[in-house]
Amino acid sequence: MSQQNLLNNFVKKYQISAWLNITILGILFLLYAPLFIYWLDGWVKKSISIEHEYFSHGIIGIPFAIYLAWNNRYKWSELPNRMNPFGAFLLTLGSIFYISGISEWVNLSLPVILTGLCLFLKGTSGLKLQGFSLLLILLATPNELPYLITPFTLPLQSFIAGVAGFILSQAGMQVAVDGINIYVGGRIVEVAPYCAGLKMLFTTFYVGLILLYWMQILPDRRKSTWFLSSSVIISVIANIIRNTILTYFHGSGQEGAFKWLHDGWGGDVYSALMLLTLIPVINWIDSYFDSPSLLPQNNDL
Amino acid sequence: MTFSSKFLKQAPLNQWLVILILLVILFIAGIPGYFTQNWQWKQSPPIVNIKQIQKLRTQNLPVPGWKTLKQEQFQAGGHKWSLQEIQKQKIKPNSPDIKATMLLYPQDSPTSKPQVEWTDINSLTKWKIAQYRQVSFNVPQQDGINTGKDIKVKARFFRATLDNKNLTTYAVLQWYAMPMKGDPSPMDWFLADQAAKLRKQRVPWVAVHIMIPMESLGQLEDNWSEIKSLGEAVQASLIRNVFGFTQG
Repeated sequence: MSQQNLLNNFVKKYQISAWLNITILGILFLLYAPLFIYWLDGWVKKSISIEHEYFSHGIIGIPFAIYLAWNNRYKWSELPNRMNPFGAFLLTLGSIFYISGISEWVNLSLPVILTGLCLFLKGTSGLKLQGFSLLLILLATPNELPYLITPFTLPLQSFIAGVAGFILSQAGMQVAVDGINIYVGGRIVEVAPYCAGLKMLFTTFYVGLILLYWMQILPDRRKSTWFLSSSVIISVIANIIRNTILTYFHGSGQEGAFKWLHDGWGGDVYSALMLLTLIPVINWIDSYFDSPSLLPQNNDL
Repeated sequence: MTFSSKFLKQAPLNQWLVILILLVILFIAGIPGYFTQNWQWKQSPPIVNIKQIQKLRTQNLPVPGWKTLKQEQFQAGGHKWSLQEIQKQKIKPNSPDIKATMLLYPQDSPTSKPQVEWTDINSLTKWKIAQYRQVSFNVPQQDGINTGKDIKVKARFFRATLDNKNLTTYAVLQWYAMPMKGDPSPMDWFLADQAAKLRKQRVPWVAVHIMIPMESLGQLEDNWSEIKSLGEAVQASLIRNVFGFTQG
């Protein structure tokens, strides 16, 4: 075989490979576009279930994951072909999930099939390359975990009720707290499992991950840990404040304001404001750990 | 050169395999969805006797050997429960009166799930719980469904003392009743429901709370046989009159 033939052959194979990739993406689109539209509709209209809304950060997370994966396309094509057998296993498992037609399993089939695809086409280096995109998609795939953990959030609910009660009594209101119930002004406010702030915590964590990636801090373990821990604390504090305000509204008979913050767009605005505070925090952590005055005198770091 | 030609031949094989797998899914589960516009994952299988289950909130549940004194609705944890006062039918005219209270929360809709019903009841009554344990009992199946197979019910069993002057005390038994079993854990229902969905079915549920008065701060164990037989009767009645309605 001459050099020229070999080159022609290579170009031909490369083109075939590109067409095959387009076909794969096309079939994936056909399989999952209806599902994604359904998810999106449920997130925007809040029409599927409370558990589904726990994953509404997918509205930004999934398009961002697709954008990142698309940006990786040249790196992807340069990776050598490696068939990892675990990829075959995941592809089979994902197929079974999809064919089962059970909504929880069809949802899960998306991250399973995508991970299987990376492993089956490019081996572990493919998985590493698309790892962050896959993580974003996995964490935005609606599942029943929020339902399954409700029996275990009781201590958190009691804690929130206790702190909210304490704050309100400091503000001079007549408050009694019993377990997860706050009695104020002759009314009862119950800190229900879904008020425990896990949704806000989860969203904060997710947005925090995206911010870390965006600012290219993610590889820095120390900064990332500091930032994610502080965002968790911010989220817990914000949720206690929210519950305190809700109890105040309910106790003082301001039903309109209560509804607005509890069910209406007030809750969304509140979450958005809290997420905005993450930006100064990440900037501060980024510069704080970089400032040379903090480095130890010996050059260990 | 040998390496590169080998590599070139192998190159698209895994891609071809991926396309094959994805096409199989597309033809089995994707294309039918597009044609019928009826995606299976959009809607869970229906709960066939949901109407019968919802009626429980406003109707008596007949309990063999017991007569109903009154039935009313009440609210706990944002849900509507049925409260039914029952009295044991006397075998001898001079045997003592045994009364019991039965609280039932039948699922509101096909999508409602058992959650924190036991916590809801506890925070409503604010009673003190003692001698808590998990118990189980078997309900023999005579008619219709699951013939010949005993139905196993696991339940929470405890002594509950109200915070009043008399320290009114009850023996309490709680579980989620399902057609083929009973269990106090929502997780158990969830797994059973997922398995049923594979067969295009669902597992309906009713939260059951029964209590009989007992001696203040007495021994819970003394009341076990009485409340156990009531529990068996309630589970059997739910299967016969509610869950098994459409099959019957």
